[in-house]
Amino acid sequence: MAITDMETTGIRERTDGPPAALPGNLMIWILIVSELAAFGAAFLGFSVARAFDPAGFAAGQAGLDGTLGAVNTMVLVTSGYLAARAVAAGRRGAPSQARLALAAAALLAAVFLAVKAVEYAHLIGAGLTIDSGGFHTLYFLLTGFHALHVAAGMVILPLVGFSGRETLVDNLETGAAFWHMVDLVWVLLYPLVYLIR
Amino acid sequence: MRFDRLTLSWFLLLGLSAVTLLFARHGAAAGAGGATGITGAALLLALAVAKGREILLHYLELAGSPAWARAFTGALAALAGAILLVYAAGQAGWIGPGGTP
Repeated sequence: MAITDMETTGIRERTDGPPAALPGNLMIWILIVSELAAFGAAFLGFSVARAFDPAGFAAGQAGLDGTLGAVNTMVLVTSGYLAARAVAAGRRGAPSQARLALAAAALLAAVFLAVKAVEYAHLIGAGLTIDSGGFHTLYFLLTGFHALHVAAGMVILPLVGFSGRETLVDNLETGAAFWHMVDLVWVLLYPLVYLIR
Repeated sequence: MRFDRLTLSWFLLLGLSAVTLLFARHGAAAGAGGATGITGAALLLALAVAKGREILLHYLELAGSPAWARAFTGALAALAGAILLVYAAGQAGWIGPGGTP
């Protein structure tokens, strides 16, 4: 196996000042930092709440399916890969390939939400809701807020594919960056909420 | 067969996710509601930071901006470290029901 360099995906070395050194639109990075700060604070809050009720949180976590969470991790990282492929295709001047990759990425977002719906249905069927207090209130808030971002991504990804030729690459980069942020939040949320007891 | 760095990142992310899943299943099998333990929590968080780093560098393309890559990866590691610190404090009884008022 040989690994090619960054040229295949069009990533450039950037040296013209701190903000300009960020790939894509600066505004999406401001959004990414804001979202990561909000989720980071929520994750710390969750950790402190667990420290005050370790038995209650462990009992709540025992009712979750860690395998489903892992499956959703693989679904999201694959969707992120397809979004990154769409950006690379757009830079190569292959908009049809970019749109196809975006559609596949959005389809995987739907798969993520379907798995999440199965999980929620199981818990709600057992009488556990956002009003149940303790672990389950925080579980539904954190995963629900993240799922809303996934739903937003499912709309944003196909939407940027409809951009005109002149704006396609910029919009692809911005949409994909949003999607990778959703991915990044999940890779920390999953072990924190599902696995660490 | 040739793979570009992005595809290699995807493989790495799938592999790290599989390791996390194996750890989760092992924990469930050994479990009986037992705590993950500080070492286990550190391992799970380290896996999460490794996945996050791949996403930052190769999905979000910060590999081309080394200073930003260090800043974002450092922030992610700091958050994971803070989560681990709170977890360890809870395990040690410094905070929580067993903690001193």
